Amino acid sequence: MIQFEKTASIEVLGAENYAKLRHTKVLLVGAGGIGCELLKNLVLMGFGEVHVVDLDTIDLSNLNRQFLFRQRDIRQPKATTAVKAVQHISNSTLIAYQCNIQDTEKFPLSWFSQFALFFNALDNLEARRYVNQIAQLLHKPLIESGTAGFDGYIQPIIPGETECFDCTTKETPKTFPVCTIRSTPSQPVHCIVWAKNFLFPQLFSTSTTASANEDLGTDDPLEIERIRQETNELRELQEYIKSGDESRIPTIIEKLYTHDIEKLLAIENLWRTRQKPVPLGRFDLTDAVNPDFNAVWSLQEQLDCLANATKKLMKRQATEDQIDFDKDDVDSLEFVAAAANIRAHVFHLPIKSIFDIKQIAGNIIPAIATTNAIIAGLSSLASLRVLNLMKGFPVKSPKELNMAFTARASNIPTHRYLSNPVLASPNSRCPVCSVPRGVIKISGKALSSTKLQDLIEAIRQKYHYPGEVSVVDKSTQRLLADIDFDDLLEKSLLDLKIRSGVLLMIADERDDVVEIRAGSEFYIQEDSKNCASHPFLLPEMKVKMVKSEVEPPQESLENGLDETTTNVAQSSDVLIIDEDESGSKRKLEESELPPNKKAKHTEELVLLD
Amino acid sequence: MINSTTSSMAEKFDRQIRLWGLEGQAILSSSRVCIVGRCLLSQEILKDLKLLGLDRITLVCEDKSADESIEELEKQENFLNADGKDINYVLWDKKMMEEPSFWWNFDIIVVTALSFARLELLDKMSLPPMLVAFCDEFDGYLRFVSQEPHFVLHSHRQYAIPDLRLDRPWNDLENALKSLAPNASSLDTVHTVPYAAIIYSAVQDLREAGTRVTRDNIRECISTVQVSFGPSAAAVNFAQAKKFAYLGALNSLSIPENIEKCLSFANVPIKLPVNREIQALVRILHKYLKSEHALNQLPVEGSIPDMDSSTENYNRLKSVYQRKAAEDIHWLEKIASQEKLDFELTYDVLTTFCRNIHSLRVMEPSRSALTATYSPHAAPIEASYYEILQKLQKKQIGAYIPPTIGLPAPAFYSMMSITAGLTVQELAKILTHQFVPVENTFLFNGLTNDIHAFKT
Repeated sequence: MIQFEKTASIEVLGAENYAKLRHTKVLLVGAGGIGCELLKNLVLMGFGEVHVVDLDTIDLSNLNRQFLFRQRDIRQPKATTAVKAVQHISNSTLIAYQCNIQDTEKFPLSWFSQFALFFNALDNLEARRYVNQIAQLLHKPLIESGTAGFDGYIQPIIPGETECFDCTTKETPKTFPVCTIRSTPSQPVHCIVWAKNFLFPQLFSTSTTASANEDLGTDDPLEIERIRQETNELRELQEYIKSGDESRIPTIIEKLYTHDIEKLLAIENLWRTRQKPVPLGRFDLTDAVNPDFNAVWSLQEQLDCLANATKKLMKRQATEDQIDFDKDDVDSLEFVAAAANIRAHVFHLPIKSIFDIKQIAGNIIPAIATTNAIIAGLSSLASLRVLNLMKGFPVKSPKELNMAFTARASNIPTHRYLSNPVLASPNSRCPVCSVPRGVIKISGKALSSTKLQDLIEAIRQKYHYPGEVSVVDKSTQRLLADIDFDDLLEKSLLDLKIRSGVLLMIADERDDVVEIRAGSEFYIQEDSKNCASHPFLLPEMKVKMVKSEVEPPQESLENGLDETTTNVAQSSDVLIIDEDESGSKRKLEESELPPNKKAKHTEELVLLD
Repeated sequence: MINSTTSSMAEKFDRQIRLWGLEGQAILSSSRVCIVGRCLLSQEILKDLKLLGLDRITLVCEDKSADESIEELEKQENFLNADGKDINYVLWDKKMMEEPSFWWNFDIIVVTALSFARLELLDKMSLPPMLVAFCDEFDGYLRFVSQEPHFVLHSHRQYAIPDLRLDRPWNDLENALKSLAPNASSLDTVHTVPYAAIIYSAVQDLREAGTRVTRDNIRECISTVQVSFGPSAAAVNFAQAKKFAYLGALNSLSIPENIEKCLSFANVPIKLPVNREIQALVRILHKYLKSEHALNQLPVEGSIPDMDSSTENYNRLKSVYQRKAAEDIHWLEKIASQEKLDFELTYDVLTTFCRNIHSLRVMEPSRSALTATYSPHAAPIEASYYEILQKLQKKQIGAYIPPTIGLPAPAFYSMMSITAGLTVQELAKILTHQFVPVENTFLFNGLTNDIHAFKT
């Protein structure tokens, strides 16, 4: 088979390009649904070297799509297991890491620079953003991908040429005001969030303490007082749990669903426009347990389930010390589901099955093998075009590359089963790729001898920031210096933990001029070899002047986005559009897509695996 | 009672059960699939089938004797297949394959590379649904072939329109809507009125004034009411009422196009059990619509969307819809009992049917796997696409020699992977009768990601 693939590859790529492919090193981030398929494709295509990074271990619910894993592999690391599974059919050098891609010690910038191309096959926004930033910093192409059920997408990202991952705003997880969760739930999800994010950690993990100044979303002094009081009372319940005394379980239930509700009812203001909850009242517990997670249980079944799960968790607490909610941990799932449902009952809200609650509490996204196969296939094919290895199809401009979306149903106009908008130009307001960025190389010795002040001065000189600047460590979001804060200036970089992997964000703070210097970002990289004569080396790059303006309000940003897309198309891209006109008809049609159509599409498909 | 095997199955397939439910998964797990042609594409199809939980797979191979690379294929199969029962390999046997009864052992047949004579043989018989798929270089195609229409019980519409019947409420609903209507004399409870009642009250006002009931007029009317109520009406429910104002302008006497089309297929001959069951439901629906109870309105779906209101008002409204839905199902049940059916339509089936009635669809698969002849009367297909399709079919059926690894013609493995993914995806839609499968042929290009669908 390998023999065959080789000949096939040579036929399509040409001997020269095939030789290049054999020497190409790529990084695959994620060995899950898309990752398994991609790894297989990359190996069969003949890539020279593939590095696979995944932090996760294998779970039973992965086996419906992550075909490199078997029942026996459950709880093994994904990256190493995947590599082992393809080894015997592979002609490529394969290296696996069971690590977080954001671990800067394990994966310094220099490590990333060995690759010609990155593939994102991730399931979370944070890591996607991180790899996108690295790609922008190193000017390396990235092929981003994701699926959710029948929907999927790929997006080749060519730094400086096409939109980056952050050029369009992404949907972030929904949040609820504290008061809705704690006092006035009006939807089942509010009860689930209460059980999962408030009750469960309060009882079973010791670390959580509600911060004193969290935004409660209410001004009612009585309500605020009650929320605070309740938090303290729950500490008492935690003691019950720790005691391991099962006879206290009815007391716990009584407190949560009778006494606490009565206290809420006492705050009359809350119930002027709302239906009053009804305290649970008298109840008995039995040992019966309903095993059907798909059914909607009766109140009695919920109570039994809650008591039973609490018993089990109490026992575990003795040895485990701290238990965190995990949708795949049945005890914790049962506890959260039953606790949420009983609360829903008290507040006259619909009861849900454990199956449904698991999806909401665990942020579960549907996933099937077929969409992953399609997306991974498209991603691997796109890589050949991104690397310009296709003999018959040379890529003259990155804009000739396509995104691809699959949609679940061929019933919506059939051509949308798979749609392929052309890549857009970078968004000039993008918080990531519109910001000039570079690497500051610094010797190990200089990290301890250089004061923050020295570094800031050098940056101001080199990039022409004449006035005050602010400096933020973007990795931890901590402010290091600004116009009103100079306490840290005399400290050494080492003391401030500014070391390899830290990303510093510089902003011109002047507010009395029309034009200011644009913001910039610097990645710190320890490099004693190149810094023999200087303590540190600043990157060669230009930072433009920009109009000083207050951040536009969120709403006008969307319009602004369209505007910029049009503007860019008018200026630098005229050439490409011309090419399109003389070229294939289809591309012209595609370029007529409204510019925001694609952006919308991406938004819908963000949190994918 | 759920035993541990089912629950571990449910756990393993959890992520896809969230797409098509336990009932969909149960259908897939018990479906018998026959793959014809042993090649790299069928290997990938096998892998995807097994991943979705289809374990009853037969693979019809061409003559084994001439095949030197069978060992390689076996190696590949071991690598790609997830855990599960073994595949049943059958060698092509002319006598056996000429018998339709052999093919009727399967719920669906997937054809990859196959010689022309053999494909022609399959095409002449009346067989279970077939998916014909092939790819060559960067082009691929997929066709859904069947001798009967395909009914979709639940198309999972992306944008469902709430079934509120505000144009012609039945008595019970009318009373509820009227008593819930926003009232100037009880301003402190105006924010607890569900939007359905706000819209209905606007519709009434328009009718009384003799104004046409359109979305914009309803919206305007709501605004006027809102202004007259002052700040107490600045609540979310009024905003929702304006947003969903179109619900007041719907005509519940007009049967949606997708259902009309289903009705027109109510009496065509049908063989496949699930299709027959859905067709029977469609026939019952037809009689129901003519009945004095329905007066040409579809059964009520019974569920209502979330509305900003007091829980009490919302629950009251909800129960009105639920009561009517139960009544409608009861009528359907009565009609069903008068039908002569050789299978039972349970209350549960009727309930599912009514709940998703707007999701009902029917499609027309291609009658033949071989229609490569370009007909200007067929659905418009651009000549260039036709050429690609012809090229692909030629390769698929032409000069077929026993399955060596070099066949189908060399192409990138990724294309096999994509084609297989598309094929198995459609297969799952067809078998579960959920989601709308391709109608009925599509062509795609893996380089440009261009896709083109057409009917033959």
